Amino acid sequence: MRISDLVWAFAIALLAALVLVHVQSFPPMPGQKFGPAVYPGLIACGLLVCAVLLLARGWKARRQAALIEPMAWWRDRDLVVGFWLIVAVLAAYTAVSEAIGFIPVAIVALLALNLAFRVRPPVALAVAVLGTLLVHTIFYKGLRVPLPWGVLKSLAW
Amino acid sequence: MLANLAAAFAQVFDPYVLAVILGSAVFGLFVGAVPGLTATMATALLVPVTFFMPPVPAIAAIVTATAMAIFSGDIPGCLLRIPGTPASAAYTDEAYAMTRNGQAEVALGAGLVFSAIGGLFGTAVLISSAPMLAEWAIKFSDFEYFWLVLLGLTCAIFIASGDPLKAFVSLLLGLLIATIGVGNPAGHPRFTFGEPNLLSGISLVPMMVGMFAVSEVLRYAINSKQTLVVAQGRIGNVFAGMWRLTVKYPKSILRGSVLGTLVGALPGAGADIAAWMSYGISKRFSREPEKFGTGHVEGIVESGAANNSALAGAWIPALVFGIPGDSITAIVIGVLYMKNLNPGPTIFINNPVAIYAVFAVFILANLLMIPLGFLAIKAAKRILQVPRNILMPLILLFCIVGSYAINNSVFDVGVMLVFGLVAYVMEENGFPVAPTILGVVLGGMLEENFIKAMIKSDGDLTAFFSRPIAATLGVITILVWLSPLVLKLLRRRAAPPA
Repeated sequence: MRISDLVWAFAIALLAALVLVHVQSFPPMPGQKFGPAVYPGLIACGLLVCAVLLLARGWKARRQAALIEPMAWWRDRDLVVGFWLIVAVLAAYTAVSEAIGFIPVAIVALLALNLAFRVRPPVALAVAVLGTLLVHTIFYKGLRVPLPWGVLKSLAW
Repeated sequence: MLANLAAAFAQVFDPYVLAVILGSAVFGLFVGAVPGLTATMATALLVPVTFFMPPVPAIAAIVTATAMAIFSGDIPGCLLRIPGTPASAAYTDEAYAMTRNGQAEVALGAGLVFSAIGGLFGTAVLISSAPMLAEWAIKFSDFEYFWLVLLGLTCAIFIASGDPLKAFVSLLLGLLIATIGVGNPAGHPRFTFGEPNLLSGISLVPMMVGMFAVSEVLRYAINSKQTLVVAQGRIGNVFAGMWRLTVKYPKSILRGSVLGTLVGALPGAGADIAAWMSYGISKRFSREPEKFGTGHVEGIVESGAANNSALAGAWIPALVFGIPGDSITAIVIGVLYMKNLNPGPTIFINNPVAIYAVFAVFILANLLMIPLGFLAIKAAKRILQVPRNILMPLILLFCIVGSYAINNSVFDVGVMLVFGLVAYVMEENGFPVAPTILGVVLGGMLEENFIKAMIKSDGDLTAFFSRPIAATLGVITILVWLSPLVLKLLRRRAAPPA
């Protein structure tokens, strides 16, 4: 997604303003002039300056580019599905992996991604199962990372 | 010193460390050769694994993998016209033109041999200059460090990027991210919004994995229908004619290595910029500039040496000042802190053996590059045919587990996702990612030195110029800041009034 400098200028100015408002709530450092609000406040001021410069640049070029330019890949359904599936897989992993467990979630995730990237179903299934077991062995057995077992707890090896 | 050196070599030649070096060499060669996987990504993916290793093998793994990846990035550039890593982009068209002229082995051989030579040159500079610089830097106070960090960040904006304004936004974003948590001189929890996972700040590793690996997987997803066409033809003996090239282009090799080391040492500018600059300079000073672009090896010799020497150069400020020279050393600094090898001038006094071990690994990795790189070239066509649609989901799974492993927390997987998306959107819109990483890594140091200096001087800004070195660094920084304005004025004056 290509966003014009004008839109970026507003977004950055908004972020800077939010930071500036929020740092007002920071308490001063006892006995010192310079508390925890000084440094983030300076960064926010820097962002405001950048926003003004971007605004000026974006205003000059306002006729040349749309505010938000759609990308060619947005029109290809397969590519859109592939992109958002990655995001969905990571979000879902964050949400459910502790309860359901690493192995089932990883197998489903790999299978879904392989199918979305047009791998043949039997190959995709084999890669999903073997890949999950390989990564699990390396990290759980080899590096002793406590990957969650979840529903497979009774089978833990 | 000799005792330290002997101890360092004993550590490096331990069978376990040698096995780690060999393994990470193969990993680096593979990652570099697959288009879409970069040397920085190799480092980010290695960190979770090195987390479980003692310091010397952990650093050895990163040094070896990155050196190999920067070389093997030349392979797909030569055979597919797609650079394997951004550092090879400068001469991809040249190398591909050579392949079409039936000279693939000369292009690949030059890439391999002169990468190794450049890498060894950069290592020699690293070994000789870092301890000297450290001795000088040990006298630095908060004022010098403040300016040094600011100068480093300034270089990242003005030298390493085509759009300083957007680079500045990226940098400020990184500095802002670094303020999250209680790690500030006042110990006040900032921007945590009641989330206990944010108290210690954003974890560096999940963030890096997100920005350098997840964003690449996302980019693959939108290009997944692109088919790669491998150039046909046999690759002959890659070492044939290399001696002739060495004798023919000694100046190019030296110039590329020197420039690469210097550019590498500049914060924010890494192997990719070194290669672009070297290629340009090579063409400018060549006796046959008209041949550039038609399959002429001279530019490859010079910029191939430059990108590998930049890797070693980047370690100079990283070790001596804790200021990363490129994105890879930004990650390395995080690893050094995790291993209690805090970078800075005192590392040479407190941990000389570890530092000499780093030097030894650099030498070893660049020497190993010749035989292993030769094998990688032999296997090139196979590596390039690895189905990326199967590989990318596996990399994503590796990213998930790697981010989780640092704190055993799924919160970090969420952090990785957020930063993966942020990096993707930033790059699509011309905001470079490297300044953000530098900002995050250096943010804490910048604030600490700034606040301490302000407290010491009681808010008097002239104190920042009261010591000779601080004043010099300060003036240089301000001059770099003013340079775009001055250039603009000069241009306006030079142009006749309309």
